[in-house]
Amino acid sequence: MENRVAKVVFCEDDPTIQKLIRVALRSAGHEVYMASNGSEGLVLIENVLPNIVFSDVSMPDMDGMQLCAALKSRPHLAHIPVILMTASVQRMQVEEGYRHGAKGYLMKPFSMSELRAKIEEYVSATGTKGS
Amino acid sequence: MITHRATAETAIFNGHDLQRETSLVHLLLAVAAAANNATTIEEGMQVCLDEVCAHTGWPIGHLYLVSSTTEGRLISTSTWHLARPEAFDAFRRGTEALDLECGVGLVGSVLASGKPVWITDVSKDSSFARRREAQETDIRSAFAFPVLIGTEVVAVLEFFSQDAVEPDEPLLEVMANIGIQLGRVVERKRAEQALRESEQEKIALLQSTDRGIYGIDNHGLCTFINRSGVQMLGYEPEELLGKNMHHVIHHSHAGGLPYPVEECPIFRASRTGEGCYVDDEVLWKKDGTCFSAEYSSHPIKKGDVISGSVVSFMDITERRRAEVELLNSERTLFQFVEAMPVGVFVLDSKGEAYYADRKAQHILGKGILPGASADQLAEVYQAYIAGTDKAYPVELMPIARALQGQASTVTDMEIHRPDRIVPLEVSAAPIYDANGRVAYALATFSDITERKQGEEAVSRLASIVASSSDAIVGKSLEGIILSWNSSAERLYGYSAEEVIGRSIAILVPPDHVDEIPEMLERIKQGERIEHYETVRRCKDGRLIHVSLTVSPIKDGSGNVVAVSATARDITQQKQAEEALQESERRFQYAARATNDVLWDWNMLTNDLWFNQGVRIQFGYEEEQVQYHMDWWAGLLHPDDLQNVYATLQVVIDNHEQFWSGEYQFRRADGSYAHILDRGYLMYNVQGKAVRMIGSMMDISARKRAEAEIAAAFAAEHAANQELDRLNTLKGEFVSIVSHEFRTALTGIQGFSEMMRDEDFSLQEMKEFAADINKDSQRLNRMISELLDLDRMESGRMALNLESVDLNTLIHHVANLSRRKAEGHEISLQLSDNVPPLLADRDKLTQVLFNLLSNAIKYSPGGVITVSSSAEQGVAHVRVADRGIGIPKEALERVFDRYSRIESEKSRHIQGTGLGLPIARQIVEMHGGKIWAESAPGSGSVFHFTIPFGSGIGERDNGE
Repeated sequence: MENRVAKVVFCEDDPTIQKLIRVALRSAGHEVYMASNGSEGLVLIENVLPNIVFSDVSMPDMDGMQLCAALKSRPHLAHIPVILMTASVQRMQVEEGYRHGAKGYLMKPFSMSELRAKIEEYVSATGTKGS
Repeated sequence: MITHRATAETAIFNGHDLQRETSLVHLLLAVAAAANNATTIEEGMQVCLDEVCAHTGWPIGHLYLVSSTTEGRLISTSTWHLARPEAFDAFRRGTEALDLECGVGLVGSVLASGKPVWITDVSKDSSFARRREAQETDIRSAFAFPVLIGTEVVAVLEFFSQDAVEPDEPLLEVMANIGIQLGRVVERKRAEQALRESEQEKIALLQSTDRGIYGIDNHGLCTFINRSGVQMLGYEPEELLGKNMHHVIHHSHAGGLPYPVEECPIFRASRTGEGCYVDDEVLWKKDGTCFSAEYSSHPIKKGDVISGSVVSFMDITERRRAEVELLNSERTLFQFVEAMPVGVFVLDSKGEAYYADRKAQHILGKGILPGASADQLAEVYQAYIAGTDKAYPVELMPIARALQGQASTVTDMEIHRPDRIVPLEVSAAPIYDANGRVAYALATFSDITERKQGEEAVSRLASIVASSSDAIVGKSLEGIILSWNSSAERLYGYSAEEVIGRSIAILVPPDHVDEIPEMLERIKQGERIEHYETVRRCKDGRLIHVSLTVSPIKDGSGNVVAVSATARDITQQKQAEEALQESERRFQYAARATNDVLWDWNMLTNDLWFNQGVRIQFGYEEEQVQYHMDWWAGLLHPDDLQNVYATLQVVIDNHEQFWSGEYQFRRADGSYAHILDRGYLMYNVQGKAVRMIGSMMDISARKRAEAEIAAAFAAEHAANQELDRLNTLKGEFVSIVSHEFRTALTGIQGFSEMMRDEDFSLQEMKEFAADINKDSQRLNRMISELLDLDRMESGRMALNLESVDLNTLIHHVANLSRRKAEGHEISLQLSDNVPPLLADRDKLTQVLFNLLSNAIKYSPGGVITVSSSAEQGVAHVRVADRGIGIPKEALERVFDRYSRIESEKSRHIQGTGLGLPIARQIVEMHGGKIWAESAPGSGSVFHFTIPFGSGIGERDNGE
């Protein structure tokens, strides 16, 4: 399990959290691509074709929901799982996220082990499917 | 053809000169080819003349046609082959002037015999008519041959040589063959001509008929259409040619339902190769209307293949209308018979029931029994002699007698129906046919029950008079009483014995004595006096009110001989009328005594009475009030008028007695009073509404109170909504704050987790610790802001006042802010003459810092300008950005605690959103003002003022 390396795209506008994620995932051996908003994230996803995408719900330019919808509408990207991250936990938001095609949720603050476990979960799932 | 060809070939091979034979074959082939290719007879003949002359070397060839009008005559044509036209001109003119007869001369012989003829030397031949011209032109030999269709000679060709040549039999034989070939050309051309003529006839026929005719190919596309067709359909021919006719003119049924082409009879008929005829459909015109049409189609066949159809159609709208009218007129006649008050019954000459109209069936109680004969009529219809149970003798029945040719009427017949006995009057008469024999017997009969009853009524009248509740008195013209019924006894108290023979004057009070001679005089003139109300005196001296009806009694010749007077006691009625008048008077008094508006509407004249209330309540002067409905209606608010009349109409239609309505009514001062109007309706005996009385109540005060209550409810509702909005905002505020806290916590928690669980270099560890520290400070700052605001709002924070130089402070804060504003330029425009302020330095720093942070956060870049100035006792600071701006309706609320602007654009921006509320609290604690000016998209300017010295005390004193 440890040697399963994932390509991860992260969309997050808080610079501290960006740095934290980069450190935590690189030390676990994953490739991390960081975007500050949804539209940057979409460009990255197109180019990198990651195994998984994490996206903050509230971001400038294109928010997490819109990003989910954008991926869903592109057949070659629709299979990539998106995990939404949010600090304000409202049931409405969770349901809206799933409706837009999100695969899962991370509540802020979350621990790094929780984050890594999510990646393992979805990358192994897609790994068995894809190859 | 084969036989002739064979003959020609035999001739050729019997010859000795092979070259000549080959040449003859060429001639034959050339003429045959030319004949086949020729488009006209003359062209084919010309080629033949040329070819033959070329072959023989003879210089002259000429064509005659057989006249189609004069039998056995040849017409010399202008079709020639002339080797030297100028040399042969005289011969040509001589030839063309000839009038040739059958059997005469060269060509005459050919015409007569149908065979070629050869003359070796025409100049020596006395039978040759043109001998003189031939001699002059030096013409010697000639031959001619016929053009034959079967045995008929249709043309003759002649050729001349200037040499004397002996007959050449093989040549003549080939010429005979050529004649047959040419005959075929003529035959074909004639057929073509006939066909063309017949085509033209057909076209003329097509164009002249008033039926519409069009052709379609086997795809349904129009190949032609005649003039009547396009006229009926309203199209130009070119609009239809090549179009699918079903789709253009036959696409829908009369009702508009689509008509699929597969169901079209024309289409189906063309598939089976049969015709069709339809007369109950419609065709559609260009203008979108349709007409009833009758149409037929006939397939066009080429061999066994159907190549299309010809459709012929007709607009039968008129015919349909005529049919309907005929139907209607028959129906009218039938209805006429049915409407007659008498029953009609018809027997045919054999005595069998032929027809009975509805009335007859109704009277007789049954219809025609088929096969019943005349002698069974009494039995079938239960006909009896009136008043007996004896069947009516058939031979005496008028209808049976009518069969014998006699007309008669009887009134003594009865039909015994199960429900009742019907007395009849029956008349019957014979109806004769053209030969004077009785064809039918027609009986008319009517139910005379009523007439019989009328006869009985007369006999009953006498007893009615006797028993009438009205007093009926018969008098002579002199006023002497002749008859006196029991009611008269009861009314006046006199018995019949007492008054008969005495004058009517005994009943008349002294003050009414003049009435009697006057009335009698009118009666003598034949006049009738009705409902004459007067007073009479009874036997006991009591006066009573009576209503008299006095009629003349006439003898058979119309002379007035006596008088009949009917009297009715109306004393009680009179008393009731007086009571009513009294009640009316009381109503008038009551109306005068009240200030309510009472009214009385005469619905027949539309006069409208008002009491004085109308003046008191609405301020009108007496001369302004018009006592008519129009005045009242004119003062009604126009919005209410229709509704008031409508509700009133409903009440009248339902014959109800009470009406009420609310409306606005104009006062004399032009304002409107709210009126509750209630009325009571009166109807006459015919049920017509004649009068309505009611009152108008001014309910303006009540209406006002209702409106106030409604306004109070609305205000409370608005307050509740504001409370709801604040609650929502508070919820969002909590959500934003917790979001910010959790974001900061994510960093703190994550970095510390990494440091605990994994191995990093010291350098990295230090860096992570710095990040943790930064986020902790962020958390702390937010908590401080929350607490500060809470303290300031509850007045628990004091100002630490000192002398502050505003411009120095602005410089300081600008420098602090520049560090975190990489994309922005902060420009200062400071006034030199701002005096020092008495203020809390840290708090004022916070205000400036918050405003600048705000400007940086909410603008994507560009210049942020901070300016200061001194104005009328205050220092004025402006912070202007080029940011996203603030909508007008949110300008006030940006300083509210819970009001980070609800906008998509700002949702992601970090912070508690408390910067502006804190700034407001601080500025207001200093006695200053803070506000914002903005337009979305063009940046915002935040202003605040701090008073020089004085304003602070007020706030402090307040604590």
